[in-house]
Amino acid sequence: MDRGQALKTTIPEEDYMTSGHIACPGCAAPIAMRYCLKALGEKTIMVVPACCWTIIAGPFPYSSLKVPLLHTAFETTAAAASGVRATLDIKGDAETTVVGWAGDGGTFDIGIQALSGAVERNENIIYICYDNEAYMNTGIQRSSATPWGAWTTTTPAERPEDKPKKDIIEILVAHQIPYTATATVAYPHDLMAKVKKAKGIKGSRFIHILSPCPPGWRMSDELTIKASRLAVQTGIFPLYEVEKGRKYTITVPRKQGVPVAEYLKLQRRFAHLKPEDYDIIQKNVDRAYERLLRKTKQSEIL
Amino acid sequence: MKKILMGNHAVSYGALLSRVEVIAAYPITPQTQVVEKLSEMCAQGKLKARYINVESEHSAMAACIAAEQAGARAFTATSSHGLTLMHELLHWAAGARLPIVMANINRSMAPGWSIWTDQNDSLSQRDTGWLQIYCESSQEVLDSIIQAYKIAEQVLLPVMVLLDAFFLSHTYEPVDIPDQGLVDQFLPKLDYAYKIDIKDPCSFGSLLPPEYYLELRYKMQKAMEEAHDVIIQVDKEYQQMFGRSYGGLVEEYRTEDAELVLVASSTAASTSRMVVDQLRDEGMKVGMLKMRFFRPFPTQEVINALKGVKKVAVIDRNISYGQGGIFCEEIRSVLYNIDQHERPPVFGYIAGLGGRDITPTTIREILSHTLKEDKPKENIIWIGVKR
Amino acid sequence: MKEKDEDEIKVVVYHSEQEMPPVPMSVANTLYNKTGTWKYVQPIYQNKTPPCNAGCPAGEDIEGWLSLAGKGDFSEALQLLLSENPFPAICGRICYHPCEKACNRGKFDQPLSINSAERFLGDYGIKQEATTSISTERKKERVAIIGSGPAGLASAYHLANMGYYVALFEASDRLGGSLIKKYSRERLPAEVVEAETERIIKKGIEVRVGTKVGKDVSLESLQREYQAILLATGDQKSKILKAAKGKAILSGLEFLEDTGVKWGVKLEGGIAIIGERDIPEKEIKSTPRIMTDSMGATHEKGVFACGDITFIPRAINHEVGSGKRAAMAIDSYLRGEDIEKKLELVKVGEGELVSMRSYITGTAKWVNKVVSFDELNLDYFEEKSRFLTPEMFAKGAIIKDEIAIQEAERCFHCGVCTQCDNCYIYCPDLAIRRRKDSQGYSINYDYCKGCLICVHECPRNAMSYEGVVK
Repeated sequence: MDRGQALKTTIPEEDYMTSGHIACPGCAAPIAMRYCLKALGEKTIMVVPACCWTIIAGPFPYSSLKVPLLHTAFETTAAAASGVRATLDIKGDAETTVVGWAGDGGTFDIGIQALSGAVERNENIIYICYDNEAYMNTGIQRSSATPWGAWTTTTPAERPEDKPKKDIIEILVAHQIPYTATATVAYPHDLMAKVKKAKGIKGSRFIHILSPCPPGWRMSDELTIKASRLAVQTGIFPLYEVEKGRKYTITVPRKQGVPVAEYLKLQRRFAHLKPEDYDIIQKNVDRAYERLLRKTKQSEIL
Repeated sequence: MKKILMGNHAVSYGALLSRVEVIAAYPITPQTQVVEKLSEMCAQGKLKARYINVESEHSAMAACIAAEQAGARAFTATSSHGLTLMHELLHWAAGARLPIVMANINRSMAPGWSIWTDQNDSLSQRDTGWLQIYCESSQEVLDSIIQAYKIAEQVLLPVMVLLDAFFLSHTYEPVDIPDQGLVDQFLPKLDYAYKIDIKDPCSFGSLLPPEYYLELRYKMQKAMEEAHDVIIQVDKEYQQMFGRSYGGLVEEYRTEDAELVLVASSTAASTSRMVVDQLRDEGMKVGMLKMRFFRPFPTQEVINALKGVKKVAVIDRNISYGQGGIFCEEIRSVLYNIDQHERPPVFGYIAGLGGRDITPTTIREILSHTLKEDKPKENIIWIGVKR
Repeated sequence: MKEKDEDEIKVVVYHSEQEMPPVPMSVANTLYNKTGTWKYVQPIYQNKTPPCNAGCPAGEDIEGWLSLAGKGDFSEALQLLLSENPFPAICGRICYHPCEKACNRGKFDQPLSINSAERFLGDYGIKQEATTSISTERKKERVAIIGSGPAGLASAYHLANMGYYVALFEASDRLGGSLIKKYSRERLPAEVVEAETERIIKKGIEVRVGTKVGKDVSLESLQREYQAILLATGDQKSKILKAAKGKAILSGLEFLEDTGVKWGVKLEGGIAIIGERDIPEKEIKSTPRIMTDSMGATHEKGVFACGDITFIPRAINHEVGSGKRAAMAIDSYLRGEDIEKKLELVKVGEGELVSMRSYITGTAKWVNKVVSFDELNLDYFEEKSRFLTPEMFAKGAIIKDEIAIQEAERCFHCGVCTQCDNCYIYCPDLAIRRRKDSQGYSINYDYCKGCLICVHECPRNAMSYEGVVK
């Protein structure tokens, strides 16, 4: 049976976004935003630094969001979210959720200091990183979220990215925050459940959303969801959550027998890879997944 | 009520009386007592504000911007490298038209490390769109913080209140602390018109295409221009309520019949005031123009004070490399368009960088040099350089 | 400050700085920006023909009744099945089920157990003594049907449903024709034939058993009494009159002889036009046929033929389809309409299959494009072997409802929107909305950027695409 029927019953009708936004065709970032806002509802304030969403949100005097949106400088998402939260607190508004919504560059790289500062203070904010694995808004330059082997305009095929993707989740977990999770657009249920769960928790919450980018990943527009799904099925981007910095739970297990090559072959940013490179990536994915499984088992004991 | 306060604590009391609601700050010498006092006030419940111990000045300003945008009166204090780290966000705060007030303790920039005073940190923020108030006493600091909020919230531009490191920040002086009730009358609760509102969901700071960017910057400049009258009005009101005035943008001291006018700011103005008194006693027709505001630049006040004067000497505790003293250059610039016969020669002195003391002797040296020469021979006249 | 109105399209143009707010804040939403102009391809939301349906000579909406059965609504499933084929219990036993061969799931794991599911529903119908509704509009015309085999009965059934007075002439003393002659009792029990025949007759059909047309009653008299006559006499013994290479002129049809028709001769009073046609040599021996058009009309006005008399004897499903086509042709003829004009609407797939529901309602459920296996998105399906098998019937097991439901749930619903929401939820541009009337989705082409995620993520190709010229 397909999962179609189940979807319909649980995805809320209300949208807090409008059409006419200027994301590229097939972009996952507006999909991710749409799910999150469906889960969060209208009492939400979005804090958005320089990233693709700066553009997607529309130029002055327009906005594609139906919730307040504060644009902020590239490296300031978490600090700015803290500032909004502080005002709400002093004004006695405990109901409204403050969300920092940043790309991978703004999170893994330039914004990590403010992020670390805010979550270390356990600011009562949700920080969502939509990760398209490079500086896409500026034209596909590598970030520390770019995976090993990937082509970008600053890691050309002659010398592709040679460092592993930064494990941002572990960095956040190390801050002992109440909730950390991964999600991706092909699993709207899982994503919305995590956002809803995060909404119900006080303190710093971090959600890492893999957000495929057709131009940046050099794939056809219609493959966004497929790429997102394969990332989970192959285990290269496992879906899990970590509560209180220690309790690991895999929410969507990877699918047996789906080699990571299926994911990689979908994207021309990996077109230069050789079979032995696939093997390296497969081994790393398997190892990381095993490690994750061990953590889930360990947290059962805890 | 009078208290003996260090300059930094005068800042804290100014913020307390202004009933700031969000403080985000990061420690840096010589600003630390400002934020220590404020966190103590918050912890003791004297000040009902959220105090955010951010991890950098950059985040401090980011948090202030966001807090102010959400409708709270925000405050921070910093110095030197902290201020210059904020640089990007100073543009942001002003461009977003947020009435944030910040105290900056003027401290020199490294390298090498210097914790002592000069004005290069704040003057290099000249073009960010912030108003700048240079204070000469702790009393002026406290009063200026309160005035700053009133000005900022009228013109919708942020204000920086500046204190010389140690010479003012760490100097204890008796300070009159105004009555909170009176301050509340003078400075009502913030009602920011362009705040984030769940019931009216707008975006703030979006992509601003060329067809409109120019207009919004035009409006910023208009607000700066409008600030001129607001500053004077606020200072007058302040005098009516609290009995103290600082002359608005500038203060002229014994300039009525002066043939030589010394232009100074911050604590150098305080020392100059004393030297002017001494020289007057000695029969010299000397006066002083204290530059309280640097932004908006008090163009008309400067012209009024200096036109027809025989000579002008400007003391700059700052330098724009490749040009000269920053106050001096701007003063020369505003005098350029007045009648040639009324245009005095302007002597530009650079002194006291990196916390070198500007003593009465230094000022006497400057004045005697000015009296001796007909015209400045050099663009920059260095005082005290060992050579 | 802006008003909150989500459908408001507001274009904001500032002519002077005075009109502008001092800060770069929004005063309207992005609906002003019709991003639909970006696209060079666009999705089309339309149901397509499931291969099972296109593979069913009886013209059943197999996907449709499986869908209802999968929801546990056997009664509605049966009604939908009966709207095209009055013999589910019979077909569920004797049909050679080409639908299962056509089923896309067969290329995935195992085809749907359509035949068994049909039998399940047919037996359910007999047990429940299910009836079907007939048109409330009584039509004045009368139709005579000669022969009560599956084709004649099917035709009688549909015509009665349409409100016609139908008289059924059967030369033998029992209704059913080939149904009672051709199959063993074990394979097709008489009770089943009786039950499903009875359901048809109950619609008010006048039954004249033991009445041989041409002997007991003259054709002339039928022609006087009835406005249309349908020949459904089945596969009759015959002999070859003349055979040439690849062609045959045949005669010996008992019926034709009895009625005095000579092969290849036009009969006065207008019964049948018997012609010649290309027939493969190997079929010649047993295939004397009446030539009709695709819908069963002979060259003679008011005279139609269906069933095995019109083609090489084929299985029951073909007979049911043939009877249905004749019913449509007779109705169109009597209504003075051109059946050819309706053909495009009622056709299922590329062959001769027709949908009675399309004919009655005037709307088709699908466009006539059969969905292939490659057009499905298999990511949405998990391998699952059959829950229901023919062997279970053979063993005499009682089939629980759950088994039938689970089997029906295996259906991919190729080409038919199940409102799974994929297109709606995955659309990055919010250009696909759920329709307020619950009839699926609507695409707002003003904003659709043509990314085709909806096409790719539609599990069943109810969303396809076409190019657009900019």
